[in-house]
Amino acid sequence: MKGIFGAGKLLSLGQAARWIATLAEHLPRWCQRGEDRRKATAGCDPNEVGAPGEEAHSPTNLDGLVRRLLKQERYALLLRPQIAARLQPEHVRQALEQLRQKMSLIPEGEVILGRTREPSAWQDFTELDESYLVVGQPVFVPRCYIDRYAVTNRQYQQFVAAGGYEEPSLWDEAIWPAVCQFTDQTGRPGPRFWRHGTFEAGKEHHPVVGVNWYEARAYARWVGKRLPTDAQWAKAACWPMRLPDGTRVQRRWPWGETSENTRANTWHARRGGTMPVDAFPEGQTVGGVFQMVGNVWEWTEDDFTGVGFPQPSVLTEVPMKSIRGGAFDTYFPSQADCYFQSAELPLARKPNIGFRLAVFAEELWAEDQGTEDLATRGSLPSTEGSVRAGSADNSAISRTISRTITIASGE
Amino acid sequence: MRPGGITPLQSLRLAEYLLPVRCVICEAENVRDAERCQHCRAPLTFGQWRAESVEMVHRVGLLGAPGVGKTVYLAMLLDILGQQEAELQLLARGAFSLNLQAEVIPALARCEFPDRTPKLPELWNWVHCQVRRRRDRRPWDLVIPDPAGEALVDSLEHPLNYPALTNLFRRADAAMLLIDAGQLSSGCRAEELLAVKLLSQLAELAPAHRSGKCRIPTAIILTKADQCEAAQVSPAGFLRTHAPTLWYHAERRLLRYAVFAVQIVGGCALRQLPHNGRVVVPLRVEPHGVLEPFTWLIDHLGRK
Ligand SMILES: Nc1nc2c(ncn2[C@@H]2O[C@H](COP(=O)(O)OP(=O)(O)OP(=O)(O)O)[C@@H](O)[C@H]2O)c(=O)[nH]1
Ligand SMILES: [Mg+2]
Ligand SMILES: [Zn+2]
Repeated sequence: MKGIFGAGKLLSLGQAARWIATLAEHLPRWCQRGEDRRKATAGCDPNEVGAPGEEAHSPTNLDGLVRRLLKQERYALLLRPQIAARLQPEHVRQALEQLRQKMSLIPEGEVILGRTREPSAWQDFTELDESYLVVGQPVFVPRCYIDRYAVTNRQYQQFVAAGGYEEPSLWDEAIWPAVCQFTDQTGRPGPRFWRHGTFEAGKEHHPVVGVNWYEARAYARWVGKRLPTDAQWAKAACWPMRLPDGTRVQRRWPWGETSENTRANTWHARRGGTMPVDAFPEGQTVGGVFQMVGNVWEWTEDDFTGVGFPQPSVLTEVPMKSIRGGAFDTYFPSQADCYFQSAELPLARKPNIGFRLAVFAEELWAEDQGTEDLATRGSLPSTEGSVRAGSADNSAISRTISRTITIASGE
Repeated sequence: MRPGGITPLQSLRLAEYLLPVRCVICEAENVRDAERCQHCRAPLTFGQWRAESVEMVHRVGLLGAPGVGKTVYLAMLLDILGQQEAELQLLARGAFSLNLQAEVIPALARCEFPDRTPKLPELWNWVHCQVRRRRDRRPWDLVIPDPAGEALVDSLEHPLNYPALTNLFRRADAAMLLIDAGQLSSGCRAEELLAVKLLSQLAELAPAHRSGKCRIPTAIILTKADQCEAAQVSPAGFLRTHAPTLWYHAERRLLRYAVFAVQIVGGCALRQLPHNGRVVVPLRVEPHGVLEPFTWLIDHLGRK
């Protein structure tokens, strides 16, 4: 029964059998939930726009659709070239503005994934070459954007409220049978520690926790982003540079080379729980990304490789995902730095693991293309007829956009 | 001063030298020069006290099966309480008492678990520390040995071979009984029954209340709670459902006990060794629930 596990441990054969039985019971209900929602949406509007997890809305109002997507912070979706090309310049400008505010641009380049060498091993290097401080491999990271803040409860709730858990296209097919079990304390779809489909009062700006790797990915699809790769995460955190003489420099902590309790929410900050995602501004990276270290561990796209561990390699009984950055309860500063990689089972829903998202620059409407380009072409795809932006009936554009959103977010 | 004679000062020293040193664990008398108690092999270096002060020391028995997590727990407890500006602080007395921390904490930071405790009492770490609480007028002393689980098990069959443990059972002022929550949740009865044995040994030997129950406060600690979320949610409920025999014994034989869940690490993996075999390594250190059992014990400890 390899590969079937609950949050934290392998199931025995008996347990697995029970689990499958439960599934058989729940699966139709889960499928039904999505079905009901689709019917409801379809019932509301004959020109159903069918974007994944959308609330019913008027498809004729392109402006409204864009506004709503922007409100849900799904600007990355709007900036997909195939969608941006169909938008009015003003909409693209607004989406780009959100992108700039909410995400930080990470220039392309190499980052060393590995671990810091113990000072006692420095003496083995007769000349201080560039690898005396870090053991590991350089990995190339293309230009990308990464969220300045971890995804918050409030942001995640928009996804839950929009029916994200009921929209199969957002979820990896392999996980469909299990999604009905991704519930909160009261059995409603949502993060594990929520109740009645919502988070604890006062925690809207805290990072969402109690979500597994698949839930993080489903949310990522919904907003048109991805989980960062391990290398993307590390590059954003330690901000590597090559000096003119070729030497590599990269930081051990986002702020520099020494651990400091006042700059991150780890065990020694003694907060005992999560903090709002914009707390500890002194701990931000060079690129203005908050809390890469501390507050919550962050899911990454990649499998755990044990790069931070002393060799020979570390094995896990079942494949685990790489998590990064340490959390409010991480005891050792060395386990909450830009190098350290820990691991968790992809189905685990822990109180100290959350996530932030990234997107490759090449996946987005190129900023330098500017909005003039759009303006000169008009905001209409030629195939969609001759309705110009701002004219009374733009339902066709709206429909196309919604269709494209379905494809883009479910890809 | 007569040539070859003894000055009054020297004679005082000599007299002091002739005074025996009492072992904190078994209270046997030893010569001042001895490093270890000739009777139970507990180190004497940590307590060059006047004989009467030995009675003022509180002893805590750290009990549990081999591999239950005694060493890791105790080291983390000392590390946390040794740096805390808080209501309760522990201050190691003598370099000797820092050995445990010095062995375990750097290992955990490197993502390794410490070696298992050897069976020989000479090789155990005996922690002697001072308890400082705001509400106490003066700090007071505590001794917590970290015995090998194997020796504890062996001592149940052969008490005379382990005078230190037998004395610890007999003279403990408080006890911590550790049991592996992960093992319990997987239905391991052996784990439970071993804990029951240790508990009944304690109940037999430790000071009794007039009700016949063992009167020293005992914290039952479910370890490795990271592997078992049910234990974190309700430690007492978990004990009752997963270790009913132990729970029954605790109810019948202990006057004051409480159940706690502790985790030191957030997850584990296996590491392939260069030649052969694999070892468990911690994936990250995230202590939870470490202070609660100890604070409870200290609050319930009868002061001397
Ligand atoms: N998952 C998990 N494993 C732990 C934890 N603490 C200890 N362990 C595991 O338990 C093993 C034994 O821990 P020790 O503290 O050495 O156990 P001990 O009770 O001192 O064992 P003896 O010295 O043989 O009596 C470690 O090597 C780890 O594999 C924990 O908090 N969580
Ligand atoms: Mg030990
Ligand atoms: Zn002795």
